[in-house]
Amino acid sequence: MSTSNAEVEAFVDKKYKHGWVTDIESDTFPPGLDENVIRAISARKGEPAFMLEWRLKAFETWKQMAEPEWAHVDYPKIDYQAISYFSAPKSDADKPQSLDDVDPKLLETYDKLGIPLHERARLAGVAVDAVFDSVSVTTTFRDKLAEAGVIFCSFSEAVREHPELVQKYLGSVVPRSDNYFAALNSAVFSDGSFVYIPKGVRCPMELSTYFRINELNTGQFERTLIVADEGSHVSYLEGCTAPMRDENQLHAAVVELVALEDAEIKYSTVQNWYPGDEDGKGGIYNFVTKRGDCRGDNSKISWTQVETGSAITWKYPSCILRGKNSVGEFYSVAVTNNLQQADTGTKMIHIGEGSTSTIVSKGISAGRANQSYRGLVKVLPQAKGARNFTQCDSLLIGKECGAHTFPYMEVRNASAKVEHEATTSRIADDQLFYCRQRGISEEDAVNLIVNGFCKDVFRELPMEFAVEAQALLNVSLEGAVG
Amino acid sequence: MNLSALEQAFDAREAGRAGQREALDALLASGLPTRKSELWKYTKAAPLAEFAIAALTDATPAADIDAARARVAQRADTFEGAGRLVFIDGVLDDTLTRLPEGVRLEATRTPVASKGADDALALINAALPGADLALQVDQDVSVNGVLHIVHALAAPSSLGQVRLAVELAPRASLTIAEHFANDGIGAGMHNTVVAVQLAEAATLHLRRLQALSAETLQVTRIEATLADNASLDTVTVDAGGKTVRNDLNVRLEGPGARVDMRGVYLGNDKQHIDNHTRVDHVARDTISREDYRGILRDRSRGVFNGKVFVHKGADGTDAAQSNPNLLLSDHAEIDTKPELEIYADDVKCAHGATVGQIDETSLFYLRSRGIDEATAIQLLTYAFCREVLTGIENDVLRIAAEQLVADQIPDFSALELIA
Repeated sequence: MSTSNAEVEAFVDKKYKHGWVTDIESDTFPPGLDENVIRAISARKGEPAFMLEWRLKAFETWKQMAEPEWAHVDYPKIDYQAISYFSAPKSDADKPQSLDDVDPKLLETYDKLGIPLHERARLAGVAVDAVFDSVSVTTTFRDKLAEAGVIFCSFSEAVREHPELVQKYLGSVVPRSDNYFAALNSAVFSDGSFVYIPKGVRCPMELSTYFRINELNTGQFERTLIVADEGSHVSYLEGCTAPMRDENQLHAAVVELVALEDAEIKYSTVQNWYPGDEDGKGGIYNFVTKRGDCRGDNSKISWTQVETGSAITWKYPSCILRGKNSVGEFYSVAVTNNLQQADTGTKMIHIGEGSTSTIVSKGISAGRANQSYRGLVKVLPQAKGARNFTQCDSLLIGKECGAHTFPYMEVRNASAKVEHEATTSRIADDQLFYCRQRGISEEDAVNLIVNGFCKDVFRELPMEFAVEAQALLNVSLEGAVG
Repeated sequence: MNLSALEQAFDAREAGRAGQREALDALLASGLPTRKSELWKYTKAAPLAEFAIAALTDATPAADIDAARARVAQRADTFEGAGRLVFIDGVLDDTLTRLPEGVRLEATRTPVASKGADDALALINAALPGADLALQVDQDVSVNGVLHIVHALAAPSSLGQVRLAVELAPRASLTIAEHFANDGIGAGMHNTVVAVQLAEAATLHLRRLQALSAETLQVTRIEATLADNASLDTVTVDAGGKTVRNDLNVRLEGPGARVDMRGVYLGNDKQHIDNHTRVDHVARDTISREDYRGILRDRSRGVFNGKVFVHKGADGTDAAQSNPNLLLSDHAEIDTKPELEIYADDVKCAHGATVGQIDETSLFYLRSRGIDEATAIQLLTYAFCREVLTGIENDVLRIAAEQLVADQIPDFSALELIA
C-alpha cells in the first residue's frame, strides 16, 4: 500500500487542480472524483448514452448523501477525492516475474490451502506463462454455455452487446439512490459480471468469476447482474478461498439478482481479501450491496457466504420476496480474527403470499475482532402465510473479542410466523476435553468444533467450495487459540 | 416541534425545584428524538412531549384534585398492604399516603443523567413540576406486605410527573406495586422516572400494573443499579393506554447480582405499547432473565426492544431473553428487536423472539374435549400471558393482574373455569 499511497500523494501534489481534463487514454486516472472522471470512465468503456446518463444521475445522488454511520464498525474517514477511479490493467513488466518474487507468507498460505502450483502464480498476480493460461479452459466453457443460450460475460461487454437487457434490469433491484456505497458504485463502477439465463434453461455448469475473461484489477467497484428468466436455474460462485493480491483498499461492489417465475438463483461467495496485519494495519474495506429480487411466483434466491477476509465487512445480502410462494435463503459463516470488524446479515422482505425465508448465520470472533449480525425480517400486510426462521449463533474465542446481534422483526400480517433464535457462547471446556482425551491435538480439536459449528452453512455450499472453505476456516483461526 | 413554547411557559411559571432549569437547558440543547434515532424508531416522541408541555400551562382546578382524591380513597381497599404512596397529578397526597414501618421517605433532588435527545422525556420529567422523593429502607430490614404506589390523574389535561429514588441498604427487602390510573377522566399523561439502588444482597420486587383509558399517555423509565448479590424482579402488565413507552434499564454492577424481567402487553384498538429494556452485565457471574409477551389485536402496535450488553470482564454472565408475540389481526403490527452486545467470552447468552398465532395442536386438544372454538382461543390467549403472571407471589396482586389481562380479551368469561 505504501507505494501506491506515495503515488497518490504525488498526484495530489502535482496535478490536481480545478478544471483539469482527464486524459482518457492514460492508464490510471489521477485521484479525484467529479463529472469529468465519470464521463471519462464511460467514454473509455465505449458505453452507450443511457449508461453515461445513469452514471451521472447516480453521481448527483451520491453527492447529496452522507456516509452511513449506523454500522458497528470503526474506521478512519475515507477521502473519496484521494482515490483513483480508473486504472487499466498492469502490463506484465510491472508484475512479479516469478513466484520467487512473491511474499513468502502468501505462498505459505497457498500451501496450507492446498492450491495447485500453477494457480498460485495466477493468484499472486505473477505474469502468467502462456502454458498455464486458463484461456483454453475458458473457451470450451464458453462454447458449452452458448449452446444452452446462456449469456455470461463481463459487464462492459454486456453493455455493448446486450444493452436492452442491461437497460431493463440494471438498478431495478438496487436503485442508484439505495445507499451511499451503492450510489458511488453506480457512478463509477469499473466492470463486473453479467449473466442471463433464458427461459426454462438449467445452466449446464456452475458459473464462476474464476473463469471470467475480464479486465484485471476491476475489483474495486464491481457490478454484477444476474437475470434468471422463467423456469431457469443457475448456480454462481464468487471469489475464491485463496487470498488475492489487491491494491485497492476500498471495495464497494453491487450485486443484483433477478429471479422471474419458477426461476432459481444460488449465489455462493467465499471472500478472503487481505484482512490487514495483526495490528489491524492495511486490509480491505468491503462495503457491498447485494440484493436479490424474487420477482416471479415460486422463484427462489439463495445466498451462501463464507466471509473470512477484509479488515471491515459491511454486507447484507437480501431478498425481496415479491412472488407468491417465493423462497429466500441466507446461509453465512463469518470469521473475524485479530482486529477485523464485520457487520453483516440479511434482509428478508416478505411481500408475496406464502413466501418463506430461512436465515442461518454463524459468526466466529477471535483475537480482538468485533462482529455483528444485523438482520431485518419484514412481513407486509399482504404477505399471507409468510414464514421465517432465523438462527444466528456466535462463537467467541478469546477475552478481547466481541459478538453482537441486532435482529429486527417487523410483522404486519396475522397469519405470518416469524421465529428468531440466537445464542452466544465459547468453545466449551468439556467439548475440548472430550477431544483431547481421545488424542486429538488442541488445534485440531478447535478446528473440529468450529467446523461442526458451521456445518449447517457448509452443507449449502457446492462440494468443492465446501472443502476449500473448511481449510480456509482453519487457516483464518490459526493462532487464535492456545 | 417547537420547544421554545416550553421555555416561555417555564419562565412564566418561575418554576422553583432545583435542577429544573438545567434540565430545561439540556432539553432545549438536545431537542426531541426523531424516527432516525435507534431508540425511538417505532414510537413518536413529539406527541408525548407536546402533551406534557401543554399540561404545563393548564393548572388543574382544586375541585378536580379533591374529586380524584375521593376516587382513590373509594378504592383504597384495592391498595391494602404494608402501606401506600398516592400521587395525584404528580403531587404526593398526604391524606392518603401511609408509609409502612421501616420505610423512610425524603424530599430529594435526583440528578438527571441525560445523553441527548433520546432522554428527552426524562428531561421533561426533570424540567417540569413533579414530585421528587427518595424512598429508603435500612440495612437488614425486610418490609412485609406490599407497598402500593398509586399514580392518579385529576383532569383530562393532567400530567402526572414523579421522580422517585428507591434505595435499599444491604440485605433489605421490599415489594412495590405501582398502579397507573386515570379513573375514568378520559385523557391525561403519566411521566415517571424511578431510580433504583440496591446495595449488597438487597431484594426488590417491583410490579407495575396499568389499564389506562384509550386516550391516556404513559411514559415510564426505570434506572436500576445492583450491587453484589442484589436481586431485582419486575413484572410489568400493560393492558391500556393510547401510547405507552416503558424504559427499563438495569446495571448489574456487583458479582452475583440477578435481574428477572417479565412483562405482558395487550394491545386493542389503536393502542401503541413500546417496551425497551436494557441489561448491562458489568460484573462477573451475573444473571439476567427476561420474558416479555405480547398480544396484538385490531389496529394495535407492539414494540419490544431488549438489549443485553455484556461488558469486558463480565465473565460467567448468564443471560436469557424471550419475546413471543401473538398477532391476532391483519391490521396489527409487532416490531421486535432482541439485541445482544457481547465483549467477554466466558458467557452464556441466548435470546429468542417469535411472532405467530395460536398453536393449532393446543386448539385441537381443547376442541376435542368439547370446548367451543371461541372459548378455546380465549383460554389459550389467556394461558399465553398467565405464565408471566405466575411470577407475582402476592395472591391479591396476581389476581388483580390476571383480571387486567382477562379484561383485555374480548368476551372472555371463562376465567371462572380455570380459577
